[in-house]
Amino acid sequence: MNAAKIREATQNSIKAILRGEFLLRLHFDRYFMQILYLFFLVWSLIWTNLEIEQTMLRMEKNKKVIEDLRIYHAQKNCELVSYDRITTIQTLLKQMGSEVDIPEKPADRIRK
Amino acid sequence: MSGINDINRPKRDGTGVFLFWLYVMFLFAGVVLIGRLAYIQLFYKPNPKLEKYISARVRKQTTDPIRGSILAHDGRLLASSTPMYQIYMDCTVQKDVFEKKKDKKKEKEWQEKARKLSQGLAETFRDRSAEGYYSLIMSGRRNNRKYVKIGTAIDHGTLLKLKQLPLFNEPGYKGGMIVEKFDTRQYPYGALARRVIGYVKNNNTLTNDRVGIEGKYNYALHGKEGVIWMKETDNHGWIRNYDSTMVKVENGYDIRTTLDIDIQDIADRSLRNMVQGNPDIEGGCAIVMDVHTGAIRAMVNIKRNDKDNTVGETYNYAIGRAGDPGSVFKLASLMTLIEDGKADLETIVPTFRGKWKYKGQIMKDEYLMEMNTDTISVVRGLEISSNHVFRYLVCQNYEDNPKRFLDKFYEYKLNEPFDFDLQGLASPVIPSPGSPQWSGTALPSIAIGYTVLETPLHIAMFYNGIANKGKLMKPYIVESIEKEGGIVESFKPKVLNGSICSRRTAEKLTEALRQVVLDGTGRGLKNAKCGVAGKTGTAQITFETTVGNKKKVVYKDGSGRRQHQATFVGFYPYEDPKYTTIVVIYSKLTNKNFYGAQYALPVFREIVNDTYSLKDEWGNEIKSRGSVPKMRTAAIQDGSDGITEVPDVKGMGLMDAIYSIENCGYRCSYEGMGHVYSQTPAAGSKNRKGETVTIRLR
Repeated sequence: MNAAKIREATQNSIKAILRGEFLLRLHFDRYFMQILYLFFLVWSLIWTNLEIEQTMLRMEKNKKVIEDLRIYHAQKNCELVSYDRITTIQTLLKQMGSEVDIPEKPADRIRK
Repeated sequence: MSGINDINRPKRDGTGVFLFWLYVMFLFAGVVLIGRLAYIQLFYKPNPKLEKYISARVRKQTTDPIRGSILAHDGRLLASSTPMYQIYMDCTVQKDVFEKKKDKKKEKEWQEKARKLSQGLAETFRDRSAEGYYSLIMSGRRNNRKYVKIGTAIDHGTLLKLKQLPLFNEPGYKGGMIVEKFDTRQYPYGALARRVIGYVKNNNTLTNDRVGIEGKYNYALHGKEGVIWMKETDNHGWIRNYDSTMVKVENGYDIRTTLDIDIQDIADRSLRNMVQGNPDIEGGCAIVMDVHTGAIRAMVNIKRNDKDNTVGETYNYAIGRAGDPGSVFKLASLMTLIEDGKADLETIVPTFRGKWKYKGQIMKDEYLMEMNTDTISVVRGLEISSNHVFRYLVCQNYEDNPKRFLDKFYEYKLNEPFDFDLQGLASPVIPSPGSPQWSGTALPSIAIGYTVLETPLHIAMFYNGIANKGKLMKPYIVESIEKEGGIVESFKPKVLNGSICSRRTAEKLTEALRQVVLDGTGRGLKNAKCGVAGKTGTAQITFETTVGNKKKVVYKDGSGRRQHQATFVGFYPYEDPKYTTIVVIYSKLTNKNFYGAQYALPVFREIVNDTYSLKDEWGNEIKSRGSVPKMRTAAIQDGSDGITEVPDVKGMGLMDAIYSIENCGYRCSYEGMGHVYSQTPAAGSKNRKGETVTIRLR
């Protein structure tokens, strides 16, 4: 391809761009479906990213809920454990008027 | 490109020209856009001040690790971390908005909500009236206060309740609620073993802000902070930015101790009662140790606060206070004498009627002065805790070579500040010839437990060695470091000396200690629930006082007041020892006499009796005879199922049978024990409700 032909092609291209016929002249209409598909892909990418962000946002909220539940569980555990003490039980039994106390002798065992 | 060369010129018209220039404009804008994109992508370096406006906001988030828990031997929780919350209130929220809009109605609504909130706060915190809280909030609103403290620190459950109240159930910028979270240490068993568990204040290593297990194992309990980066989403939420670097948070390890909460509780109650009930007692400690491993099952330290006369775990006497052990040390002298073949339990010693002259000094023994005898056996001397017997034997046999006598104590590790699991183990002192503490009377003094300094833990360790047939175990209190139930590092029992004495000597000493309990100063334990072998000890403690403007260390002040250390140490059941226990009581300055048998022994007895009753390992073994009827897997019937007839309870246990019968509307009477083998009336009978069904069990 010589220089004259390149100049002519460049001039024609500029003119085609100015007329809005550049893509048609390149026969891009033949790839219309592919262009649409590319557009869809880009749109899907953006939409998926937004959805991922939403899911991660929900995940962060759920993390807070789980953390709250963990704290609640730990506190209840502590409250419950505090009753598992001989002197506490003795005091409670005494308050209720019970005569139950520490056994007089160790429990008998059945030989296996 | 062939198509481009075939251009046909269209005719120009007005609309065409307009569209053409519009097209040119868009084209130009497109070119500029593409050029700009390329420039920003490749060359542009934004101004840092502007950058924050054109890029997604990010923030660094530090995650505090969860501090590890401290567990008892069986996994019960001794200390755990949970957050607490302090509430503040921004009283100015929405004030400007309402003022700008001149919306008095909305302001009134807000104030009405504040009134209801005040009611809820008063009910929750009970530190102010509802009116008081309302005044606080409204005063804050008038004075533009954005950080008004509400109540005291609250737990998570209360926080959730507060978040239901008016205003606090709205977002912060509307309701003004500010929540500050901080971690606190929870101790489910209250003050139990508090000194052993310890604490860490401000993570300061320079001062004594690290106490007990919390202090010593802070490196494992603390964990490591994590760092993550968060980015802002388009709708102003914050999500994790996975493109950034992060440091994963590592929660602290759990520490499993050797403590047995039940024994700790029993020992705590006994010692606390003793200290609380006797105003002349300054404090005391008790240690319970597993004979075969040296694992500490309980370590109680009770000290009186003279300001308000309350008692609590504020000082670790068990490891922190080394003092003259007194008569409990005589056993170490006796062990040395027996091991060296210098004496035996039956050796006869002249009494000198309680007045023995040694190096020009008359050494008195009050017990022997009262006894009308010229000789006494060693075992009897131990029973009545005679000072003379041990002073005499030691001086007679080691006067020429005191080093030999003292070297034996070093073998017993009675001078060793070994690496213990808690900080602050006091160093024991046994003076040697030539040292500043050594004097002409040092040898007889050491023989009876004076001039030496020993912690209660060292004495317990030594007696434990005798109970363990001469094998000296190192006391330890931390069993393992764990992560989520799995063991990261395990601490096994360690032997300090494989044989401090022969098995025969250990058996002789055990027998002698048993005699002390049966017919000596330890008689108070004669009727304990299991056989105890042990020794009382009473020592006078030196203290500083001013005599004629000079400070002096004395045993007795001008008013005749003295300070004592009363001890009882022993092991049980003496036939096959399982636990070694020491109880030490420290008196205040008093004119009273403090004897080990009077103050330490009752605490020891309570520990022995209750521990023995609770441990089924000492229960009688029952041999199973015959066969127990097999349980049938019949479903329990109850009245709510619409059953109107007598239920079939054969094969059931008593509780299930009574439940089933009474729920069907009948009364139950029973005979025997075990499982139901017959019933009257028979199952399926349609009797009147309220009638009695008799069941027989075997």
